[in-house]
Amino acid sequence: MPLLEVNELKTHFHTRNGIVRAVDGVSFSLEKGQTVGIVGESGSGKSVTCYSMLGLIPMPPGKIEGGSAIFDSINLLNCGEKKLRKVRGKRISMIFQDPMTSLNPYLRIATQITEPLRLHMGMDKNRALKEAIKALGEVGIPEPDKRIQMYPHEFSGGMRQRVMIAMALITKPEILIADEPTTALDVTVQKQILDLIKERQQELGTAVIFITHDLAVISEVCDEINVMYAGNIVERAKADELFQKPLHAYTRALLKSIPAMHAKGEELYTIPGLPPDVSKLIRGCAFRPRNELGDPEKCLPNKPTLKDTGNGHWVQDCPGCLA
Amino acid sequence: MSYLQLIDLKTHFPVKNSEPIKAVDGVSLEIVKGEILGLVGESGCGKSTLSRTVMQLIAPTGGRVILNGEELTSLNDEEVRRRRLDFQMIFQDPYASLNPRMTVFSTLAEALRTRQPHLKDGKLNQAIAELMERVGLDWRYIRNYPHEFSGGQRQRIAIARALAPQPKLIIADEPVSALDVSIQSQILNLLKGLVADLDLTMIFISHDLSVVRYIADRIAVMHFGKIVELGESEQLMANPSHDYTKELLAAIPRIRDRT
Repeated sequence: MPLLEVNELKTHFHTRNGIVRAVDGVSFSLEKGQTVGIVGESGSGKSVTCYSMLGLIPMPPGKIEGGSAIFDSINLLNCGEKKLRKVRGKRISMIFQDPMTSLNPYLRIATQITEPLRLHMGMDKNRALKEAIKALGEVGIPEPDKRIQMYPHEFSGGMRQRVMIAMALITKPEILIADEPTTALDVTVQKQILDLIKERQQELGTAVIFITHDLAVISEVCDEINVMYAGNIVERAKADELFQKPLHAYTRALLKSIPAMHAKGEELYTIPGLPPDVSKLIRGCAFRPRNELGDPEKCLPNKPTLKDTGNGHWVQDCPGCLA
Repeated sequence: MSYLQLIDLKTHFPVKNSEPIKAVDGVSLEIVKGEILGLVGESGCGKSTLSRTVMQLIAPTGGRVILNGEELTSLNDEEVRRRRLDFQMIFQDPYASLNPRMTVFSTLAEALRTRQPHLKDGKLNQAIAELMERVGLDWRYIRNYPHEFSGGQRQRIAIARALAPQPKLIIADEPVSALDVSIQSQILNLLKGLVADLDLTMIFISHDLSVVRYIADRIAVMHFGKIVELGESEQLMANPSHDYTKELLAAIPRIRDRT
């Protein structure tokens, strides 16, 4: 049985300008210790998918319209806030893109990092502090016993993200959700943070859901990759397989448009148009208007479903996008 | 002949009771007309201070900036203000750099009038329409506000604004870092086309080496206020000689070999 199984998750936002179908039927699963990536452009629904599981969607305007997310036989989507609180921050924790906005600038690191220990593990202040210092040391913060008494602004971006990782992993969660954890960081720091996540993951056996828009980053860290477009997963495959044999027209177009794949001076491939407005009901294949590499004529008039093409490679069964 | 020449440029910031911070510490560079120079380095290496110094927004502590044979560092304030139209900047976050209360029309009209103060009515409208077409914006959006556009479109507005005063040098500071992959390629193609068509010279600042390799003719690697390596971009990427360049290249996440 998978550690986490998300089935047909639908999260919609009811706004003045209509219903925004941010996540519209997403299914995936996560095994113990596995790293699953969700890649997609802004607005494709990758973050909302994960926020929904942790009850972090503001309701209203958000509403979970359907589906389930089963973790240890608890359905996270309807188990109620009380039960969810026992899971969130303890068994499933999360790190975000910008560690400056996710750390409280008014509180010392010590206060923030010991909070999960005191809340979830019932530790007393001294023991929690000792644990926290150890955790900071493990993520490579020098002189953790001194640094722990400092405020977030006294840390650099990379160091802050280390603090966030220490905080997220301090309760030894079974799942870590990393939402664009390195987007705000320099390349060399990014590498350190990615290595750190991998290293801690191996030690603790944590499964990781890695959200990013960066295909190169995702190819380095993930075992399996889900490609999202307009609130749906359009393709899922093992990392190597996805980059070697992309099937969906959107995945192919994405790979074709990154500069690293182009010789110098060669015109970059650009996907025509813009991602669809998910506040309008999309009928049929969502990628149809931008489908240049496939055959838009053959795109389905009703929503395509994911099919297994073998070897764990799933793709939306739309003849136009597979052409 | 080089178009922009930096000679031993230094910008130091004094610190009380301590050594000054040497943000730019003896940079010498030459850029020929029509060239795109990629400037890479990590946060805090002095890239932005260097570009601000070139723009004459910060007075250098030492050294000279020569644009088209004219020494900018020796001009008085009035002259500098006039010359400043010759170099424009494009920033990373177009939402932060566009005035949210100004429509595309007023943003571009203001920028056009810096060079041609008497431009109005039909001529102004025509100039704005031309600019919008140039950067691939539909003129029907002329009365729209920045928040009504997507990130890529906003960056197009920012680019149109930079082009309005007919600059000779454009400094693009991480212009595609905030954009999605599919939009990033559109903007890169646009910038490349503009440099070629309008005979512009560009300093392209980025931390993304794969983007810089693609767009720049030469790459300058900056570290602690100094240029540690400068070379033709493909060559520099293939055979880095400085240790820091090697470290930087090793850190780039790469898509696994597609073989």
